[in-house]
Amino acid sequence: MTSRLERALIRAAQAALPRGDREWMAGDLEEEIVRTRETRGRAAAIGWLIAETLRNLLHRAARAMPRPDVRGWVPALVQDFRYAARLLRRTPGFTVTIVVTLALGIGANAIVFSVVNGLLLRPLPVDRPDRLVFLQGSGTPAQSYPNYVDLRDRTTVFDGLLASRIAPMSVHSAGSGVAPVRRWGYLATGNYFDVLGVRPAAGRFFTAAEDGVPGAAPFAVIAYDEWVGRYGRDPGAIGSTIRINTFPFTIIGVAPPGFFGTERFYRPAIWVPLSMQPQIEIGNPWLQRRETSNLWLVGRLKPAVTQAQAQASVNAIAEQLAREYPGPNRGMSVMLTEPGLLGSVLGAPVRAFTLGVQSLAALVLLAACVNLASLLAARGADRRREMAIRASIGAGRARLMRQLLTESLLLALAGGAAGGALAWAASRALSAWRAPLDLPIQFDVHADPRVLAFACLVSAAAAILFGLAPAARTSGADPNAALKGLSERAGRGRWSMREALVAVQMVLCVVLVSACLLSIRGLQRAATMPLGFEPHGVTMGAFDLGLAGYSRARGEVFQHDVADAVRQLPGVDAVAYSNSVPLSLDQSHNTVYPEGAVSADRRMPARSAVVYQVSPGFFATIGTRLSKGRDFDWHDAAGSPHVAIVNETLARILGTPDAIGRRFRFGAAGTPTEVIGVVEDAKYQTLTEAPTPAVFVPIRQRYSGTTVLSVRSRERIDAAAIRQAIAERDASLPVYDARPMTEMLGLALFPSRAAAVALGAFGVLALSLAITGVFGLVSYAVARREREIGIRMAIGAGAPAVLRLILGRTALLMLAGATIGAIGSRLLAKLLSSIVYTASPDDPLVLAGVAGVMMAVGILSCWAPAVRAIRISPTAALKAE
Amino acid sequence: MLHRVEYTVGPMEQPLGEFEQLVLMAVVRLEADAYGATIKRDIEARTGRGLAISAVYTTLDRLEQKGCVRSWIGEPTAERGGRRRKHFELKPAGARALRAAYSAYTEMAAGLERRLKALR
Repeated sequence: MTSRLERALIRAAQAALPRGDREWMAGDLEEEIVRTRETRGRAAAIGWLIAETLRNLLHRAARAMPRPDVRGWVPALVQDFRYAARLLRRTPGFTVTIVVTLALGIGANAIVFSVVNGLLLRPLPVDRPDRLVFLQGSGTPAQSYPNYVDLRDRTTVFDGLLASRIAPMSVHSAGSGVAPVRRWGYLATGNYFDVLGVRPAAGRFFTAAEDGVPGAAPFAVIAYDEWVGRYGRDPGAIGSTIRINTFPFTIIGVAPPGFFGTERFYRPAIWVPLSMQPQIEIGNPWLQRRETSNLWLVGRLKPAVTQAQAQASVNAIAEQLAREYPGPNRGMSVMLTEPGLLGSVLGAPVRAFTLGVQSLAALVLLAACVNLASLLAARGADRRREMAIRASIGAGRARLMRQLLTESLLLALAGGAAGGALAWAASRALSAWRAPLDLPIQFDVHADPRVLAFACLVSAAAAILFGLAPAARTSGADPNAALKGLSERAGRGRWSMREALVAVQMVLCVVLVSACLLSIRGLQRAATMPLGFEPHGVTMGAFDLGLAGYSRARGEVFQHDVADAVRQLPGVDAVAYSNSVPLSLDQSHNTVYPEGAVSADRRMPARSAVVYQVSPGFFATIGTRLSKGRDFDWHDAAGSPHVAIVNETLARILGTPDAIGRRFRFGAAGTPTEVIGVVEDAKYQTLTEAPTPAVFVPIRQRYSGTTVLSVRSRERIDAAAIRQAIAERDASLPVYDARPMTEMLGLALFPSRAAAVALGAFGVLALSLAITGVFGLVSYAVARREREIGIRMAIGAGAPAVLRLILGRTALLMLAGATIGAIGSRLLAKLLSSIVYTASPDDPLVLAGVAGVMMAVGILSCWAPAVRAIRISPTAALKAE
Repeated sequence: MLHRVEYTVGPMEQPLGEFEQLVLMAVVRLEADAYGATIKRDIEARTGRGLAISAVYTTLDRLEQKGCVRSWIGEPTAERGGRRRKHFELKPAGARALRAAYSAYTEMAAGLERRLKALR
């Protein structure tokens, strides 16, 4: 008999037994435990029961495992891969076509994604970036300093609220013997680093307590790259004195590597407390002015506060402030947005644009996958016999599917690797690229693990997309019919989905290729188009006397002296200076009110015009033709009557027959200014702009400390010579933008170049799509109709008849696609011409180019399958019976 | 068609494994008394091996699937707390397989008895 303990144990062990067999197995256990106790003792019996229960569990688990165990599965997979690789090596053309198509498709997606990742997804380099909000004003993203102080002091929803502003500075390391350099940095409130939660790489940051009294915190924090690049990581740099705009500042710390503040596009070199604003932006103190909205505000939400609660609180304060200061704060509103791209000012368009491009890229990849699917289907038709033989000697359908999917996975892996490499290289180049500007604009879009994961995911999805359908079709073929040589019915009459898709691809191809050619031709023409000035032979150098602490009187003397000195350089024909030059980034506008021209409703027709403050000889130097009147001379200075030179567009507005002698004012209450000359129109802001009114005024009359020196010379002179001439007069004056004027034009040409490159890339993609699409379609047709063609040839059909049979429908498709594409490209050309400088869509070279490309597509894609069709031997095709 | 041949292919007769042979022989010896616990005990007693009862069940299960044995559930028994037994008996296929294994064994062993006993 069993003891109570034994019975309890048996009951417990029963749970491990299969339900249906529980009774008799438990019976066996009971018999055995009694016998074991009798022969070997109680303890041994209990030990035996426990061990037996465990063994039982193990046995059951082993039986539940699938029969073909891992030991057989791995070699099969390796075998599949080997077989697939061998097969793909045997058809290099096919393999290369697929891998290149995939590489382009996956690469394009990964590149676009790396931009999305860099601009939108990657968190800001600060502590808990998800708790930061940007306080965006209406109209301008910025707020004034008094409003910032009120918002900061009245709100209870933020752990901290910071304000910052970008500003150029003239930075000079005292006693270094190096000339001052121009650097862009941030003016930032004392709590800036605290609120962002970053730690210094060296030294310390300035604090809220230090940023109180104006001018009392001459401290600077430098960027890590600056510390490495200019100070060689020298710890002694901390505590050293530098001069910013001639004022002494102490470097107190270094920002951590990779830290660039709160705006993703801007790479500051230096941070200075906001209370130092009067020293940084000399002659323009605005901290006390509620009208001047110059600050970007970023707040850190308190842990328990939601964005909606914070928005409600900020709304209430904005309403208060609008009531208290009805003048400057009229209609004040503050919207909480995501920081990083000036809230939604840049954020919204960037999001919309990148999303659009990403969907385009996804569509391209999808189309590529469909093409590849039809290519694989064509190949699958060729391999039906192979599959049938394998099936009839015992391979299951799952096994065949696996073989085919392994092949497409291998292709996708190769394409994904190539596409990933492409994206990696492209995103590195994009990250390293800096706009040809004085302003340090840079986008960090380097490929990180997120991009890598994205590329892998896309590749895998592609493999399934293009591999599954052909695999299902091929592996599912009836072995009996396949071995007998019966081919599938060739579809006739109705247009298949695949054929419609090929037509769409042709449309896309024609549109993109012609857009690409248009913008390339446009670029070519832009290089020779009349700009209204002649940049070749002009070298420039710029400096800011305001930042260097010059008064107007000293500044005018200095400008004159430097111009005189440069004029003495060998080979120099003409020298002039101005506050800016056409097609540079820095353009000012003013409103021109023609005198006496009062319309019926007593309003003067005002016109906005581009304004330049220029020295005598400016037009001769930059090569603008003076068509009427006279140029300025040195007598057009302070105290003499106000004069101006206008361009032909403004002259037409001011009055006929010519504008000489007409007067206008800048602003409704400005000083009357008399027109003394007219110059030809030029391009001032972009190459694509329509003729724009422009006014030139004498710099001696309306002074500007910002000085761009233009030097025309017979032979090219070195920008360094200009730097030298300036340094001889004031070694502490930073010179920037010292380069040939043609180089500066790179900026104006940038949109066109970027468009040509982007359209070129998408054009190549569309081309490869069209080629693989048509190739796949025709190959498939040939493969499916091999017997039919053989029979036709046997009863006397010649090569032309066979070609007609195979290519007829395709040619029709291509023609239809090309026609629709041609119409589409004319529409696109209109759209494009507003963004970049383009050639006319009727440009013979563009038309010939598109036609040539389409013919090449046709020949390239149909050649191989057509040749194959003609070479079909009737005997061989019929022998298959 | 003048000549037509139809094959009826039964389950492939595979040679028995060593433990399968031991289990089948125990079933033959125990006759009506062949069930899990007795089969285990019989093999343990004769070969001196310690066995897991679950190993016996697994083998019996496999032999049943191969068509070598069949099983049925008996009447409730007092000595097992009223629990019933699962009995096993040899089927023709099992008998053929066992005979084949035995004859292969004896043929191979014929004339070697002395030398086999002398092996250490």
